[in-house]
Amino acid sequence: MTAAAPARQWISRAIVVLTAAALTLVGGAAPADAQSLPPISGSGSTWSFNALNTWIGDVDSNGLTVNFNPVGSSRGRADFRSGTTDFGVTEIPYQGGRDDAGNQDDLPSRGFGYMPIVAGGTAFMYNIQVRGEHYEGLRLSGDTLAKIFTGEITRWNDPQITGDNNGVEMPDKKIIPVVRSDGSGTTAQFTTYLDEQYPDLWRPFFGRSGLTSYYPTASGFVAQNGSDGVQRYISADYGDGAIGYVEYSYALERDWPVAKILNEAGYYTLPTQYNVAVALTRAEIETDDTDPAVYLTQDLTGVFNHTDPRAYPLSSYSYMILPTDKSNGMTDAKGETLSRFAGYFLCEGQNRAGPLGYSPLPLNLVMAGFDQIERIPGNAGDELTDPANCNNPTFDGSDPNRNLLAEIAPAIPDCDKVNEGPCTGETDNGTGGPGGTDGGGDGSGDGTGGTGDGTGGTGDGTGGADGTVGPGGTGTDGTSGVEIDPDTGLPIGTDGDGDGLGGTNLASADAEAIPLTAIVLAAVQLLAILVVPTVAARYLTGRAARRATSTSTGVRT
Amino acid sequence: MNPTRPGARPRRVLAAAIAFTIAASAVLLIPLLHPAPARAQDGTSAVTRDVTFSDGATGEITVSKTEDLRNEIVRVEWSGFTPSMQTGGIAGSYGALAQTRYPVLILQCAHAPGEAAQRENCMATYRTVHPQADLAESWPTAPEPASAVLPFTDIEGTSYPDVFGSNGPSDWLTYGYGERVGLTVADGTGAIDFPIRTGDESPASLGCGRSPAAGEPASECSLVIVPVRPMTCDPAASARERLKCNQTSNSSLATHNYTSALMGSHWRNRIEVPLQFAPPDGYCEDTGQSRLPVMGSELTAEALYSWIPAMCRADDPLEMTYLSSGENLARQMYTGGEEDFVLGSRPADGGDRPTVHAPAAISGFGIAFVLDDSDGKQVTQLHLNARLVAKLLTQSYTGTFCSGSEPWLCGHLEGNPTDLLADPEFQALNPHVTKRSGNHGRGLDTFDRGDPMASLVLPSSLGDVPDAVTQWILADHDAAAFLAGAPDESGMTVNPLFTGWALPVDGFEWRDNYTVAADAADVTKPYDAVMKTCGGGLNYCPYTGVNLPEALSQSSASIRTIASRVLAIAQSLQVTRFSTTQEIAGQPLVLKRSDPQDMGFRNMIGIVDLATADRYGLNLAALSTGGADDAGAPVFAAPTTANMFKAVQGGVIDEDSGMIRIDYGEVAARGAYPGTMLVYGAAPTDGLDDATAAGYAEFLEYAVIAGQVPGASQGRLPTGYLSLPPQLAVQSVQAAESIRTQDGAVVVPPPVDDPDDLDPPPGVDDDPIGGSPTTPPASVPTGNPSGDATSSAVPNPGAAPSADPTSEAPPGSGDGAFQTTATQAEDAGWATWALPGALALGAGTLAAAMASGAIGADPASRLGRLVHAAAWPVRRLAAAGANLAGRR
Repeated sequence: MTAAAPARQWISRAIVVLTAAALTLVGGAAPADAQSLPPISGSGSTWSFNALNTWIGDVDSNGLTVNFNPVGSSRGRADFRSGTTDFGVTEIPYQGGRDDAGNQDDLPSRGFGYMPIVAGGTAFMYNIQVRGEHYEGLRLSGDTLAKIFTGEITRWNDPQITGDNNGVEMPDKKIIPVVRSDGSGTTAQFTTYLDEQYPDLWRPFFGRSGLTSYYPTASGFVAQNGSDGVQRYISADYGDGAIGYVEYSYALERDWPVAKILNEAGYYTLPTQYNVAVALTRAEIETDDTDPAVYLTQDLTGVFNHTDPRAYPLSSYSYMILPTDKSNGMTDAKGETLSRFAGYFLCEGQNRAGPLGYSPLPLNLVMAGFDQIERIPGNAGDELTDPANCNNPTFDGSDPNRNLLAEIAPAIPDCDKVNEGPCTGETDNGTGGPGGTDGGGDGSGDGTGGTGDGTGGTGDGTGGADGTVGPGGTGTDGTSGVEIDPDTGLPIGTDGDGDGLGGTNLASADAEAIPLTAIVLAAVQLLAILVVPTVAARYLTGRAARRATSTSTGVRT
Repeated sequence: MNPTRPGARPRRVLAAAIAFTIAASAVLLIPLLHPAPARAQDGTSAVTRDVTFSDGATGEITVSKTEDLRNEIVRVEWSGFTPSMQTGGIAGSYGALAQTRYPVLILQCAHAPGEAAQRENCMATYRTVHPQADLAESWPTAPEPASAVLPFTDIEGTSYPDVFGSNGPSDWLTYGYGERVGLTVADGTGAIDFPIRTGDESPASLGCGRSPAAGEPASECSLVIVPVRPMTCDPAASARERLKCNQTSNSSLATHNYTSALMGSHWRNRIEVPLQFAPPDGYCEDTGQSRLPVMGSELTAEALYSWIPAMCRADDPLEMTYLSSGENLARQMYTGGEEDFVLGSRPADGGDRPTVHAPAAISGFGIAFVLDDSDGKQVTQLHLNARLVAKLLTQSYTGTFCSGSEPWLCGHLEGNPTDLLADPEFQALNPHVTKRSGNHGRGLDTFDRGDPMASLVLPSSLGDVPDAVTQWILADHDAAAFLAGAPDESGMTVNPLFTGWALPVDGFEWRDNYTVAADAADVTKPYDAVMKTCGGGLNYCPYTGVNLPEALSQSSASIRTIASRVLAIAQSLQVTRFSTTQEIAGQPLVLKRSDPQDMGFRNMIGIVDLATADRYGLNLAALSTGGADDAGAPVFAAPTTANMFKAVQGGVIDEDSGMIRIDYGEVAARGAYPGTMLVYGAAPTDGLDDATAAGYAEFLEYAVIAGQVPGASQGRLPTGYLSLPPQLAVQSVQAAESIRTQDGAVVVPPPVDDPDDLDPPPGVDDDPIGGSPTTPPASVPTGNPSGDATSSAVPNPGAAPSADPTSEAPPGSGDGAFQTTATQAEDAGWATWALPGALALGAGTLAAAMASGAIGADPASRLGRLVHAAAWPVRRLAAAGANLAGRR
């Protein structure tokens, strides 16, 4: 009999729900009043495609139709230049002249600007089989990385690699560097790093200075088409000894180890959203807007050399190339579509970045993006570009200069420090998911932060939430009592009891449960309908009960 | 134990009344909300027309759907048309499209109400006419020009003398050009899928079904089919004119290929089919507020993209966002506390958070193929058994690398067939598939070596699809034996590198790296690594030194991408090994993804999810169930909702999670579709804040009630899914309640002890998901705004909402149940099912109410006749409702 009460409770809940659902259909039948906006199209980067694709799905419910073809950054720039798309997405700006594959890469004649859209770390997936197991926890310095990808270091037991791993020697195996065969923004990001940080290694190998979208191959290298190809090769059985660069999500999806890269502070770190965000606080943006060729392009020197122990050195972000005039079929209406799309992904959309293996854009880049939105013809203007209304997880409207995400980024355990460790028994703060909230609360961590329980090391959500009262004393912003979500740094709704969802206070406090109006309507409806059905039901179930009684008597024997 | 104890009866009455009320209110309400299309009486809005051409010949054309249209695919089929052929070729043979005569152009045209379509209002890219060569072209001004371009005029009256690139209407840039080119095979039949554009996709140029301004009537549009035929010369014309006409007819390609459709001689043979459009989907303002994320199974994506815009428009709006990922990653994030709601087909471990699993959707994996036979006609049906799939997964086919120029490559897996089509086991199961001699279809290079049919396009992320595929293989006796090393009947053996492959797996694997190095003894020296020649530059040998199995491998992190961006456009992920232009230009060799395969030569196969495959109209193989018929022949099951329901009913309830797991023994016994997968939402019942908990509860309640009504409109369940049986919907509502109240529950079991007791949901039928019954070849124009064939052919990968940005292969339910005659189709629309659906739901609720103890806690009576008896009136009513709906 004890089961009856809860059961009745959910039955009544079910009826309310059913009724409300039916009523919802009525209420929902009327489209929004707003005039529908025309669709827009773009092409380009495969690197940022997962994020774009998610945003495109999100804004569809807002009547914005965005059509995107992930054909690669080079093609994205070419399509925008030739006027066949409304926007492009690329990891690198127009290079001028021709690229390394002989394709034209001049500046477009149409008006354009660069807008940051999503950040991420270039991850190095590797496959080192030790007695049939995949070795996890590999650490590499930038110098070692550069030597591997220029053919200077060719075996895994090279003393320099052993040094990176504090004396742990890898097997005596040939290193197979896996690079992209197609024109790739990921390649451009990596070679930007090599050219900037290790010119003495990179330039002789490349034959000249600068970045390239087409990685030069050398003997012993394997070139694969697309990140899918790189991922497949490295995770294949025959990939033993391979290491290659991919967007972090490709490693996450395959639950595959990626190398920790040494940063300027002497720590080996993973490309988690936290570590990338920390690094990107040092991104410089060219603000000389007299030259569209360089305006808003990135200078990542400070990122590569950031001295925060948590910084992941190979962090960068990709751009949207957007139109600033009405040539090539651009209209005010399409501009409004584009501006609203951009307004979404710079703010609320950045909450999707972390789970997908990217990192959200910090405030300085969002503000730069706002400036670009205002250059789009027909843009929806100020309503989109107020940071106080911007639900971006990295900053807080009341104090726009704080990078909350970077502040709450977990500390790196000492065993990941140069000449220490390596950390053991862990896939630690990385491969289990972007995050690793272990010990995130108490800042310095307890030294076990990286040594997860082997379930992927994504940490313990409860622990993270408990710890969040720690960092930096959240009382400083005057909102005492407000808890900060560890994943996003956003305050959790004051009526909430912790453990935010992907980090935000839900739409509104009164969004809970079924609203009173629906219940009232349901009740009214019930009354209206009940007369006949009740009578019928009484009759029918009465009969049914009589039958049941007689039959179950039989059953009891 | 006394079932007649005091108090039971009032509750019984209450429960019955509740069930009745639910049913009655739903019945009363739902049909009022979405009136059925005007012509729902015959169950379909397909139109079939007899055609008489200007030369007196006759034919027939059918358009699968003409009313209540969205941005979706309709199928156009014809017979009695002139077979397409290459210049100087034989009927029904074709190669490069531009060289092919007598294609069929399908266009969308705007027109004044009730009037015929005019050429200047048709979305056609190639607009050149040849008045001097065309007696049917009466040019308004003299002298008539040799050729002229007809301008396009948009709905605002703006005229575009040139529509190429950004000179054309702005929406042509967004979606590419709208026409399609179909080809006719030797028997005069042909077919093509045409993506309908509503005014949402073409607001400037056509505006179909949308009002140009508030208060004005919606723009009218027609589908126009222009068969390009040999020109006939008017007998009344002068001898000189007839001579000119005949010369043109016999010699000029430009007046008979796909660029010539607007010429007067062809245009007069057109067939116009008026189209009626569904009202525009609604949407909500972007509030800038945070959206509630759900993460995981791509199998649910199509449904979620239908539900999300409907939920945000409810009186109590719920803003959701979907993060697509492999199930393993989603569960890992859930376990780590970083996600609070994940979707998958296996249990999620909540760590220290108590977790319930709620049924959310039923779909599955499929094996899709794009395959043209030796006549160039598309193959639409395949039978695949578990062993054939095991062969593909284990890299046991060799591909077609072995050749006269590189005989040293012949040593790989000696004795095994080159690919699926060459496998005697496949041929025995699919005698209707005729294989070309030599290399079948398009391969990696200009010699068509490589062979895409030697491997499957596979998802690379870790998750539940690889698990389900390999569970099915593992349960099959022959397949398991093959994997263990036993040869098949023709002596083919598993790739030894996969011997002992421990199934099931969470991710597919690549193990073989067969390579013949350039310095191997067999290779004819000298070998030129730059020009890839052997023996002094005489022998082109591009595959020497190449990892051959890797060259065949194709994978994508997203399983939906395999349908939308690989198979839908027949563009292999394999990399072409040869690029003349690059080498001649002195540029570094850049290995690129192969071009899309030519019509008539396509050959690709891959693992897909059913809903995405259906949306893109992909053909799906019937898979072996593992069972045999009375004569001992193996049984194959197509992906139909009826076959999926059998698999669900044969499932086993996992006590710990309340989830139903597919039992492959029962799949065999029942002839069920083995790719069936149930997807559950996992959420914690402790630790969520009130608003979050309520949000997820509301989402589930929407998904399992309103979201399970089959239909193409926003908020409904798209094709490719089996609606949840009522009892599973009830289980979800109950789980939603546990989530809402955060009651700490660790399992919410379904209200049945045996899935066999599940009642059928609405929409269970025998129509195959995906594809179409007959699919002769079809093509897209080679020209497009960017001047690059690839772009035009690439559909948007799309996050796939209902107004999907899909450029060339828009969404659309695919209307897989296309029928040429106006019979009573079973998929006449969700409205047909509203009544029985609502009643079934009511019945399910009633049964569940009783089962859960509201009435009679005695288990004997619970599953005994009590429920049956009490539910009887509801069932009666349901049956009556079904009849009623059927008559509508």
